[in-house]
Amino acid sequence: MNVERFLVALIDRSPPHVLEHLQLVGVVLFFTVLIAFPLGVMLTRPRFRKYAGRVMFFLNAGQTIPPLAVISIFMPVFGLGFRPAAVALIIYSLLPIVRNTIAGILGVPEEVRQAARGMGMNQWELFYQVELPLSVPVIMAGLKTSSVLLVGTATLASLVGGGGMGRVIFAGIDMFWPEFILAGTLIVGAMAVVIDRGLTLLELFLIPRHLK
Amino acid sequence: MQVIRFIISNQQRILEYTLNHFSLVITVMLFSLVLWFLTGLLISRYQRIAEPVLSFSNILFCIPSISLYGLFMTLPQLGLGRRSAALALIMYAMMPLVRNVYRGVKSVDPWVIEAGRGMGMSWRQILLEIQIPLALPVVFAGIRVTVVLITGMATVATYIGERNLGRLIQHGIARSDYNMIITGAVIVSIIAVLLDYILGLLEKRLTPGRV
Amino acid sequence: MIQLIDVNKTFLNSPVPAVRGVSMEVKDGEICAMVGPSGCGKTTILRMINRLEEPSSGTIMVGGRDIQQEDPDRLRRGIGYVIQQIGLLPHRTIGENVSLVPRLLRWSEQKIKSRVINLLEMVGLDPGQVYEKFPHQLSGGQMQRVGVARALAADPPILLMDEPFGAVDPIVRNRLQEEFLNLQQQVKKTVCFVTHDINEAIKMGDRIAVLNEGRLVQYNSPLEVLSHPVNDFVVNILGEDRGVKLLNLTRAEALMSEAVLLQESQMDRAVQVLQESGKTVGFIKPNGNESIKYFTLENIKKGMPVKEILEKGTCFIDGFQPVKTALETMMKRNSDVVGILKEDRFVGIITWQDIKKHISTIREHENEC
Repeated sequence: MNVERFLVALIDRSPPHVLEHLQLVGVVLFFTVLIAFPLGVMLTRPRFRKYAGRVMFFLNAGQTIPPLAVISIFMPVFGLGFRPAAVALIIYSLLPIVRNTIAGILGVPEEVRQAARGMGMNQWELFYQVELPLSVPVIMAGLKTSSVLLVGTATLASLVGGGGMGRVIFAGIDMFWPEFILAGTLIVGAMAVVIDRGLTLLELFLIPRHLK
Repeated sequence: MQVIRFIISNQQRILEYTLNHFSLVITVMLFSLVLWFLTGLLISRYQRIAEPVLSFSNILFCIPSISLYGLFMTLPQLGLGRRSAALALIMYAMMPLVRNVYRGVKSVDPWVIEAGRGMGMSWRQILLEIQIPLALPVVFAGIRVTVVLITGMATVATYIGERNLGRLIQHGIARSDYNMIITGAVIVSIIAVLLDYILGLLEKRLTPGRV
Repeated sequence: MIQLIDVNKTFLNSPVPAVRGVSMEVKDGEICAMVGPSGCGKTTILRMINRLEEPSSGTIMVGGRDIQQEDPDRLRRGIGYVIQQIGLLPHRTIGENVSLVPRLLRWSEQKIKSRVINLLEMVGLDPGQVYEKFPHQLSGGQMQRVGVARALAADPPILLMDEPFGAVDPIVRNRLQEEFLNLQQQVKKTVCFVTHDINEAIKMGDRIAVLNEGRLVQYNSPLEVLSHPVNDFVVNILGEDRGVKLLNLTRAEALMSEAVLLQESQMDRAVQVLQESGKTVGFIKPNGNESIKYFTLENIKKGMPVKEILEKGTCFIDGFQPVKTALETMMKRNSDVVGILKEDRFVGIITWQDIKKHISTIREHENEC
């Protein structure tokens, strides 16, 4: 173990890639939530519920494609760089959020739903005032899982020119320097922890008081 | 079309990669099952160590796969190739397997265990005849998730010298060869789905008589 | 026989003892109903008898042996255990569930099979129908019967039952209670029966143990507890309608005058025979299907001839039916006496006078309070 090399990796090499990594994760999370949440909600609406099974089947099948393959599959379309990596990672992160959104909303007890309908709530009021608040814990759990996995998987983005902490780690592998790998890993790990904590804080704001 | 042509003209290599991939996954699963199944049972018995063990497995799971490969690779005892790859994957398998074994055993209706104890079943009999059989569905769910996960993650091991289907993807990226990437991805997915399906069949045979 | 000698139990995480200085004895073949509010220690006592809990101090003897000296698993195999949640193994068939303990005891397959079929019939299930079924395919009442069958499987002398009929609806519960009492007539187990329902305790128990805050408040026959409650706590538990309960829930046999069987030839010295046996009623062995002829000591002393007759089939009730049933039968038959049967044999009579006297003793006692 070469301390000097470790410090070089940590202080000189990593900072720009940390920014790239965070940018990638941020963009991906933003778009994932933007797509996955409405999709999950829509699939629990009575009109579309019959398609839920089929959509879930495709998302599940998508999950069996190795992350390395997902990352590289858009390269021919978008070329090298940030975009193919981001698109690939968005697709990769969709499943847990869609699945938990559906599970959360369908997990609201039927009697609560009946009671709400009985009091004269319409579909929208039912969703906004009953289903959504009660399913926040499950939805947030999906978002957290997705984010933590995403931070790790995003290291592969560097393989298609997407940058990020993968650059430091792969440099370590190419040169057989454990110091670089370790530095990269520690930073990625720290990012995962920070994002997980951040989402936990967000959760505290969103979850109804009685469920805490 | 081009994909098929690619496969036909490279059969030899693809077959070698596929077999390597398959054998890595099987090796990892066999070791993991024994190791993590026992660990799961152990922590369900000794509650005090459950929390630290589960936290540790969670942390392991958060480390990017490439990091774990890389770190193991630089250890002189492991080096490039199979040993580092297998060990890293076994580490990844820890979280889903240990957690599900633990959850499965813990999810058994405590009154069934109470009745078993009350009838004079020994600790071993309760474990073997009640807890393990009743935990099986949850354990199997964990095994299936793990197999799919390991099959996918194994591709990344190509960067530390494993000659498996990841290599098709790696070279595909390097040469911008779409056919190579697709071929690698599709075969890996097929292996994952196939193993998952076989385990599903096995699960049905092993868990009779329940809703 | 089960003996508890100054048993105490304090749980690790609790500042208050769960059981304090309980000493009691359950005689062979008796049902001891333990009753009290939740947290009174009744379940803890039960679980100490098969060592699912260990007492903090004190001794528990089962069949004259200190259970601390025995291997817990082996001890439990010799004690039937029925709980409200039943705890059937969901992945085993009913047959396999019932045969669990015999299998632990390594009986032969053949013996097990015939025993299981026998048991299922005993608890009122059709073996052909349920043997291969899984627990989730049965109704709550059926599952509870399986629970009882499983506890009886290895023919243990002792049965521990923790609110065994608590989870089924009142109609089914009533039927299960009666069936169990019938079964108990045949199997004569030593039973500890935990319940929070005083009516169930009175109905099921040969003796009732009233518990409060870990202490044994009163331990006596249902009749004695109902007629002489030791303090306000027991009075409270028994409820306002104690008098009616006495009729409703006292078994007829508790008030009956036992009858002595005489041969026709002994009739001339009937007074002597009765006095020697200490009984006040005698009866003559009926020839074949004839109705039973009985006489009381009082009447025979006065020289009255034997003419009282209890007609077969109409003027009899079973001994463990409540006094209230005896009263109803009297009204229906316009008679002031009914015959008591035990296992279909005539054992005694109960008269209008007995019931009246009984009610007046409660009144007296109530006035004292």
